[in-house]
Amino acid sequence: MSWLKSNRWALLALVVLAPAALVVALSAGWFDYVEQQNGRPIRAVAGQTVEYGGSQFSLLESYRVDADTDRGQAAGLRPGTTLVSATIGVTPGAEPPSCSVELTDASGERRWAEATFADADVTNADGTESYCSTDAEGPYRLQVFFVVPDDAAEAPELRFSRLDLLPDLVLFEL
Amino acid sequence: MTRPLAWLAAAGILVAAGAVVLLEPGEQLAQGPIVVAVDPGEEGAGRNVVATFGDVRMGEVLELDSTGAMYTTEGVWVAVDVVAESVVSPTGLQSTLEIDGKEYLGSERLDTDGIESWTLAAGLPTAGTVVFEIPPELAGGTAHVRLAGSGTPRLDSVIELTVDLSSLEVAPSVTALAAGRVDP
Repeated sequence: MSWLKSNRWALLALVVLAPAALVVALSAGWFDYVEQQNGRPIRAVAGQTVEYGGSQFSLLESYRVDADTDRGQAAGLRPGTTLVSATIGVTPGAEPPSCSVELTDASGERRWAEATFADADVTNADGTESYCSTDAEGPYRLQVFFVVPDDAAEAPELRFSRLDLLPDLVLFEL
Repeated sequence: MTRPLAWLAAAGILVAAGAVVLLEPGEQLAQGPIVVAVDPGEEGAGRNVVATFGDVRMGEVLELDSTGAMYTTEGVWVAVDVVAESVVSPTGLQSTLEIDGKEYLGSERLDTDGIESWTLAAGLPTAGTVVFEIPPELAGGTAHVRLAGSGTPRLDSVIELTVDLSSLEVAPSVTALAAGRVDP
Protein backbone atom coordinates (compact mmCIF):
# COMPACT_ATOMS: atom_id res chain seq x y z
CA MET A 1 0.00 0.00 0.00
CA SER A 2 2.85 2.31 0.83
CA TRP A 3 4.35 1.62 -2.63
CA LEU A 4 1.14 2.70 -4.30
CA LYS A 5 1.00 5.74 -2.09
CA SER A 6 4.57 6.77 -2.71
CA ASN A 7 4.17 6.31 -6.50
CA ARG A 8 0.67 7.70 -6.80
CA TRP A 9 1.63 10.74 -8.84
CA ALA A 10 3.67 8.70 -11.30
CA LEU A 11 0.81 6.19 -11.65
CA LEU A 12 -1.71 8.97 -12.12
CA ALA A 13 0.49 10.49 -14.82
CA LEU A 14 0.68 7.08 -16.50
CA VAL A 15 -3.10 6.72 -16.48
CA VAL A 16 -3.46 10.11 -18.17
CA LEU A 17 -0.47 10.06 -20.48
CA ALA A 18 -0.77 6.52 -21.86
CA PRO A 19 -4.23 7.06 -23.44
CA ALA A 20 -3.16 10.56 -24.53
CA ALA A 21 -0.10 9.13 -26.28
CA LEU A 22 -2.32 6.57 -28.05
CA VAL A 23 -4.75 9.27 -29.19
CA VAL A 24 -1.93 11.47 -30.48
CA ALA A 25 -0.23 8.58 -32.26
CA LEU A 26 -3.39 7.27 -33.95
CA SER A 27 -5.32 10.45 -34.62
CA ALA A 28 -3.21 11.58 -37.60
CA GLY A 29 -3.74 8.22 -39.29
CA TRP A 30 -7.44 8.27 -38.43
CA PHE A 31 -7.99 11.71 -39.93
CA ASP A 32 -6.04 10.68 -43.05
CA TYR A 33 -8.25 7.60 -43.32
CA VAL A 34 -11.47 9.59 -42.95
CA GLU A 35 -10.26 12.11 -45.49
CA GLN A 36 -9.34 9.33 -47.89
CA GLN A 37 -12.79 7.81 -47.50
CA ASN A 38 -14.85 10.98 -47.68
CA GLY A 39 -12.54 13.31 -49.57
CA ARG A 40 -12.12 17.01 -48.86
CA PRO A 41 -15.16 18.38 -50.67
CA ILE A 42 -15.75 21.80 -52.16
CA ARG A 43 -19.55 22.08 -52.08
CA ALA A 44 -21.50 23.90 -54.77
CA VAL A 45 -25.13 24.38 -55.79
CA ALA A 46 -26.70 24.97 -59.20
CA GLY A 47 -25.42 28.10 -60.88
CA GLN A 48 -22.41 28.41 -58.62
CA THR A 49 -19.01 28.21 -60.30
CA VAL A 50 -16.14 26.51 -58.55
CA GLU A 51 -12.48 26.35 -59.49
CA TYR A 52 -10.89 22.95 -59.27
CA GLY A 53 -7.43 22.11 -60.53
CA GLY A 54 -7.22 25.29 -62.58
CA SER A 55 -10.51 24.71 -64.45
CA GLN A 56 -13.95 26.07 -63.69
CA PHE A 57 -17.07 23.96 -63.22
CA SER A 58 -20.70 24.86 -62.67
CA LEU A 59 -23.89 22.84 -62.44
CA LEU A 60 -26.12 24.03 -65.28
CA GLU A 61 -29.03 21.61 -65.08
CA SER A 62 -30.18 18.39 -63.45
CA TYR A 63 -33.31 16.30 -63.61
CA ARG A 64 -34.74 13.02 -62.44
CA VAL A 65 -36.88 10.49 -64.28
CA ASP A 66 -39.01 7.95 -62.41
CA ALA A 67 -39.32 4.44 -63.78
CA ASP A 68 -43.12 4.58 -63.83
CA THR A 69 -43.30 7.62 -66.16
CA ASP A 70 -43.41 7.53 -69.95
CA ARG A 71 -39.85 8.84 -70.09
CA GLY A 72 -38.77 6.24 -67.59
CA GLN A 73 -40.32 3.43 -69.58
CA ALA A 74 -38.80 4.79 -72.79
CA ALA A 75 -35.41 4.72 -71.08
CA GLY A 76 -36.00 1.10 -70.04
CA LEU A 77 -35.73 1.83 -66.32
CA ARG A 78 -36.45 -1.05 -64.00
CA PRO A 79 -39.18 -0.62 -61.37
CA GLY A 80 -37.79 0.93 -58.21
CA THR A 81 -35.04 2.84 -59.99
CA THR A 82 -34.64 6.49 -60.94
CA LEU A 83 -32.60 8.07 -63.70
CA VAL A 84 -30.63 11.14 -62.61
CA SER A 85 -28.98 13.44 -65.15
CA ALA A 86 -26.71 16.41 -64.56
CA THR A 87 -25.14 18.86 -66.98
CA ILE A 88 -21.92 20.55 -65.93
CA GLY A 89 -20.41 23.58 -67.61
CA VAL A 90 -16.66 23.14 -67.93
CA THR A 91 -14.23 25.95 -68.67
CA PRO A 92 -10.87 24.25 -68.99
CA GLY A 93 -7.76 25.95 -67.67
CA ALA A 94 -4.40 25.85 -69.42
CA GLU A 95 -4.58 22.06 -69.42
CA PRO A 96 -8.02 20.50 -70.14
CA PRO A 97 -8.75 18.14 -67.24
CA SER A 98 -9.79 14.54 -67.14
CA CYS A 99 -12.33 13.75 -64.46
CA SER A 100 -14.28 11.07 -62.65
CA VAL A 101 -17.96 11.60 -61.90
CA GLU A 102 -20.00 9.61 -59.41
CA LEU A 103 -23.32 10.10 -57.68
CA THR A 104 -23.70 9.79 -53.92
CA ASP A 105 -26.83 9.53 -51.84
CA ALA A 106 -27.75 12.19 -49.29
CA SER A 107 -25.71 10.50 -46.57
CA GLY A 108 -22.66 10.25 -48.81
CA GLU A 109 -22.28 6.62 -47.84
CA ARG A 110 -23.33 5.02 -51.14
CA ARG A 111 -21.83 5.88 -54.53
CA TRP A 112 -22.79 5.00 -58.09
CA ALA A 113 -20.81 5.02 -61.30
CA GLU A 114 -22.28 6.47 -64.48
CA ALA A 115 -25.12 4.47 -66.00
CA THR A 116 -24.29 1.89 -68.64
CA PHE A 117 -26.45 0.41 -71.41
CA ALA A 118 -27.52 -2.20 -68.86
CA ASP A 119 -29.12 0.40 -66.62
CA ALA A 120 -30.85 2.74 -69.06
CA ASP A 121 -31.16 3.64 -72.70
CA VAL A 122 -30.06 7.27 -72.68
CA THR A 123 -28.66 9.69 -75.22
CA ASN A 124 -26.72 12.85 -74.58
CA ALA A 125 -28.44 16.12 -75.44
CA ASP A 126 -27.16 17.90 -78.53
CA GLY A 127 -24.05 19.92 -77.88
CA THR A 128 -23.01 18.03 -74.75
CA GLU A 129 -20.07 15.75 -74.12
CA SER A 130 -20.30 12.50 -72.21
CA TYR A 131 -16.81 12.68 -70.68
CA CYS A 132 -14.21 15.27 -69.68
CA SER A 133 -12.34 15.90 -72.90
CA THR A 134 -8.61 16.34 -72.37
CA ASP A 135 -8.25 17.97 -75.78
CA ALA A 136 -11.09 20.50 -75.40
CA GLU A 137 -10.18 23.85 -76.90
CA GLY A 138 -12.72 25.92 -74.99
CA PRO A 139 -15.73 25.74 -72.69
CA TYR A 140 -18.08 22.79 -73.14
CA ARG A 141 -21.02 21.12 -71.44
CA LEU A 142 -20.71 17.69 -69.85
CA GLN A 143 -23.86 15.61 -69.41
CA VAL A 144 -23.81 12.52 -67.21
CA PHE A 145 -26.47 9.92 -66.34
CA PHE A 146 -26.93 7.70 -63.31
CA VAL A 147 -29.44 5.04 -62.40
CA VAL A 148 -29.99 4.64 -58.67
CA PRO A 149 -32.56 2.99 -56.39
CA ASP A 150 -35.51 5.27 -55.67
CA ASP A 151 -34.43 5.81 -52.06
CA ALA A 152 -31.15 7.36 -53.25
CA ALA A 153 -32.73 9.81 -55.67
CA GLU A 154 -34.19 12.25 -53.13
CA ALA A 155 -31.17 14.45 -52.45
CA PRO A 156 -28.22 13.06 -54.37
CA GLU A 157 -24.92 14.82 -54.84
CA LEU A 158 -22.64 14.74 -57.85
CA ARG A 159 -19.12 13.82 -56.83
CA PHE A 160 -16.67 15.32 -59.25
CA SER A 161 -12.99 14.47 -58.88
CA ARG A 162 -9.60 14.13 -60.52
CA LEU A 163 -7.33 11.34 -59.38
CA ASP A 164 -4.31 13.62 -59.11
CA LEU A 165 -6.22 16.14 -56.96
CA LEU A 166 -7.75 13.76 -54.43
CA PRO A 167 -8.70 14.01 -51.60
CA ASP A 168 -9.88 17.41 -52.92
CA LEU A 169 -13.12 16.98 -54.86
CA VAL A 170 -16.25 18.91 -55.81
CA LEU A 171 -19.73 18.00 -54.60
CA PHE A 172 -22.66 19.47 -56.50
CA GLU A 173 -26.00 19.34 -54.72
CA LEU A 174 -28.64 18.19 -57.20
CA MET B 1 6.13 -3.26 -2.36
CA THR B 2 7.99 -6.13 -0.65
CA ARG B 3 10.73 -7.98 -2.54
CA PRO B 4 8.80 -11.33 -2.85
CA LEU B 5 5.77 -9.44 -4.12
CA ALA B 6 7.88 -7.63 -6.70
CA TRP B 7 9.31 -10.94 -7.98
CA LEU B 8 5.81 -12.39 -8.11
CA ALA B 9 4.55 -9.40 -10.07
CA ALA B 10 7.49 -9.66 -12.50
CA ALA B 11 6.79 -13.38 -13.02
CA GLY B 12 3.11 -12.62 -13.59
CA ILE B 13 3.97 -9.99 -16.19
CA LEU B 14 6.29 -12.43 -17.97
CA VAL B 15 3.60 -15.12 -18.03
CA ALA B 16 1.08 -12.62 -19.36
CA ALA B 17 3.52 -11.50 -22.07
CA GLY B 18 4.08 -15.13 -23.07
CA ALA B 19 0.32 -15.68 -23.26
CA VAL B 20 -0.05 -12.66 -25.52
CA VAL B 21 2.64 -14.02 -27.86
CA LEU B 22 0.95 -17.44 -27.94
CA LEU B 23 -2.47 -15.95 -28.55
CA GLU B 24 -1.26 -13.68 -31.37
CA PRO B 25 -3.44 -14.44 -34.40
CA GLY B 26 -1.81 -16.26 -37.30
CA GLU B 27 -1.42 -14.63 -40.70
CA GLN B 28 -4.60 -16.22 -42.04
CA LEU B 29 -6.64 -14.93 -39.11
CA ALA B 30 -4.96 -11.53 -39.08
CA GLN B 31 -5.11 -10.87 -42.81
CA GLY B 32 -7.49 -13.43 -44.27
CA PRO B 33 -10.95 -12.62 -45.54
CA ILE B 34 -13.96 -12.55 -43.25
CA VAL B 35 -16.20 -15.40 -44.36
CA VAL B 36 -19.97 -15.00 -44.46
CA ALA B 37 -21.28 -18.57 -44.83
CA VAL B 38 -24.72 -18.95 -46.37
CA ASP B 39 -27.07 -21.67 -47.60
CA PRO B 40 -28.58 -21.68 -51.10
CA GLY B 41 -31.21 -18.96 -51.37
CA GLU B 42 -29.99 -17.18 -48.26
CA GLU B 43 -28.69 -13.63 -48.68
CA GLY B 44 -25.14 -13.04 -47.47
CA ALA B 45 -24.11 -9.48 -46.69
CA GLY B 46 -20.47 -8.46 -46.68
CA ARG B 47 -18.77 -5.07 -46.43
CA ASN B 48 -19.34 -4.12 -50.06
CA VAL B 49 -21.07 -7.12 -51.63
CA VAL B 50 -24.46 -8.65 -50.96
CA ALA B 51 -25.02 -11.97 -52.72
CA THR B 52 -27.43 -14.87 -52.87
CA PHE B 53 -26.47 -18.25 -54.32
CA GLY B 54 -29.01 -20.11 -56.39
CA ASP B 55 -28.90 -23.41 -58.22
CA VAL B 56 -25.64 -25.38 -58.45
CA ARG B 57 -25.11 -27.88 -61.28
CA MET B 58 -22.34 -29.76 -63.05
CA GLY B 59 -21.96 -30.69 -66.68
CA GLU B 60 -19.58 -31.74 -69.41
CA VAL B 61 -20.53 -28.85 -71.69
CA LEU B 62 -21.61 -25.33 -70.75
CA GLU B 63 -24.32 -23.63 -72.77
CA LEU B 64 -25.05 -19.90 -72.59
CA ASP B 65 -28.81 -19.36 -72.41
CA SER B 66 -28.92 -16.11 -74.40
CA THR B 67 -26.96 -17.21 -77.47
CA GLY B 68 -26.82 -20.99 -77.24
CA ALA B 69 -23.01 -20.82 -77.44
CA MET B 70 -21.40 -24.05 -76.24
CA TYR B 71 -18.22 -24.22 -74.19
CA THR B 72 -16.35 -27.50 -73.86
CA THR B 73 -13.82 -28.39 -71.19
CA GLU B 74 -11.19 -31.03 -70.49
CA GLY B 75 -12.68 -31.26 -67.00
CA VAL B 76 -16.14 -30.69 -65.58
CA TRP B 77 -18.11 -27.45 -65.44
CA VAL B 78 -19.52 -26.32 -62.12
CA ALA B 79 -22.15 -23.61 -62.65
CA VAL B 80 -23.59 -21.59 -59.76
CA ASP B 81 -26.36 -19.03 -60.22
CA VAL B 82 -25.90 -15.86 -58.20
CA VAL B 83 -27.61 -12.53 -57.62
CA ALA B 84 -25.32 -9.82 -56.31
CA GLU B 85 -25.13 -6.10 -55.70
CA SER B 86 -22.67 -3.78 -54.05
CA VAL B 87 -23.31 -2.09 -50.71
CA VAL B 88 -21.48 1.23 -50.74
CA SER B 89 -19.56 1.74 -53.99
CA PRO B 90 -19.28 0.25 -57.47
CA THR B 91 -17.22 -2.92 -57.54
CA GLY B 92 -16.52 -5.90 -59.71
CA LEU B 93 -17.22 -9.43 -58.54
CA GLN B 94 -14.73 -12.27 -58.36
CA SER B 95 -15.49 -15.89 -57.64
CA THR B 96 -13.36 -18.80 -56.51
CA LEU B 97 -14.07 -22.46 -55.89
CA GLU B 98 -11.95 -24.33 -53.36
CA ILE B 99 -12.00 -28.08 -53.30
CA ASP B 100 -9.59 -30.56 -51.77
CA GLY B 101 -7.19 -27.73 -50.87
CA LYS B 102 -7.04 -26.47 -54.46
CA GLU B 103 -8.48 -23.17 -55.54
CA TYR B 104 -9.99 -22.42 -58.96
CA LEU B 105 -10.84 -18.97 -60.24
CA GLY B 106 -14.18 -18.34 -61.91
CA SER B 107 -13.89 -18.83 -65.67
CA GLU B 108 -13.69 -15.72 -67.83
CA ARG B 109 -14.81 -17.59 -70.94
CA LEU B 110 -18.32 -16.12 -70.78
CA ASP B 111 -16.69 -12.74 -71.38
CA THR B 112 -19.26 -9.90 -71.17
CA ASP B 113 -22.05 -12.41 -70.49
CA GLY B 114 -20.31 -13.43 -67.27
CA ILE B 115 -21.37 -11.61 -64.12
CA GLU B 116 -17.73 -11.09 -63.22
CA SER B 117 -17.34 -8.69 -66.13
CA TRP B 118 -20.11 -6.48 -64.75
CA THR B 119 -19.85 -3.63 -62.31
CA LEU B 120 -22.07 -4.21 -59.30
CA ALA B 121 -24.09 -1.22 -58.11
CA ALA B 122 -25.64 -0.51 -54.72
CA GLY B 123 -29.32 -1.41 -54.66
CA LEU B 124 -29.30 -2.56 -58.30
CA PRO B 125 -29.00 -6.35 -58.27
CA THR B 126 -27.24 -8.21 -61.06
CA ALA B 127 -27.99 -11.87 -61.80
CA GLY B 128 -25.80 -14.35 -63.62
CA THR B 129 -23.86 -17.56 -63.30
CA VAL B 130 -20.33 -18.07 -62.03
CA VAL B 131 -18.69 -21.05 -63.72
CA PHE B 132 -15.62 -23.11 -62.90
CA GLU B 133 -13.68 -25.79 -64.74
CA ILE B 134 -12.44 -28.46 -62.32
CA PRO B 135 -10.69 -31.81 -62.90
CA PRO B 136 -13.15 -34.75 -63.14
CA GLU B 137 -11.51 -36.51 -60.20
CA LEU B 138 -12.51 -33.61 -57.91
CA ALA B 139 -16.15 -33.64 -58.99
CA GLY B 140 -17.19 -35.73 -55.97
CA GLY B 141 -15.74 -33.60 -53.21
CA THR B 142 -16.98 -30.82 -50.98
CA ALA B 143 -16.55 -27.44 -52.64
CA HIS B 144 -16.51 -23.95 -51.17
CA VAL B 145 -17.75 -21.35 -53.66
CA ARG B 146 -16.78 -17.82 -52.64
CA LEU B 147 -17.79 -14.42 -53.93
CA ALA B 148 -15.93 -11.20 -53.17
CA GLY B 149 -15.60 -7.71 -54.53
CA SER B 150 -12.80 -7.05 -56.96
CA GLY B 151 -9.32 -6.60 -55.56
CA THR B 152 -7.67 -8.54 -52.82
CA PRO B 153 -10.16 -9.99 -50.31
CA ARG B 154 -7.66 -9.73 -47.45
CA LEU B 155 -9.44 -8.34 -44.40
CA ASP B 156 -12.53 -7.96 -46.55
CA SER B 157 -15.63 -10.12 -46.56
CA VAL B 158 -16.38 -13.06 -48.83
CA ILE B 159 -19.73 -14.76 -49.20
CA GLU B 160 -19.33 -18.54 -49.10
CA LEU B 161 -21.51 -21.47 -50.09
CA THR B 162 -20.47 -25.01 -49.26
CA VAL B 163 -21.63 -27.65 -51.74
CA ASP B 164 -21.33 -31.42 -51.62
CA LEU B 165 -20.62 -32.09 -55.28
CA SER B 166 -21.12 -35.83 -54.77
CA SER B 167 -24.82 -35.16 -54.42
CA LEU B 168 -24.95 -33.70 -57.94
CA GLU B 169 -24.95 -35.53 -61.24
CA VAL B 170 -22.66 -34.51 -64.07
CA ALA B 171 -25.13 -33.72 -66.85
CA PRO B 172 -24.14 -33.81 -70.52
CA SER B 173 -24.84 -30.09 -70.66
CA VAL B 174 -25.52 -27.28 -68.18
CA THR B 175 -26.84 -23.80 -68.80
CA ALA B 176 -25.25 -20.54 -67.76
CA LEU B 177 -27.43 -17.44 -67.44
CA ALA B 178 -26.20 -14.39 -69.31
CA ALA B 179 -25.56 -11.68 -66.72
CA GLY B 180 -27.93 -8.77 -66.46
CA ARG B 181 -29.59 -6.37 -64.06
CA VAL B 182 -32.78 -7.57 -62.38
CA ASP B 183 -35.51 -5.69 -60.54
CA PRO B 184 -34.44 -4.38 -57.12
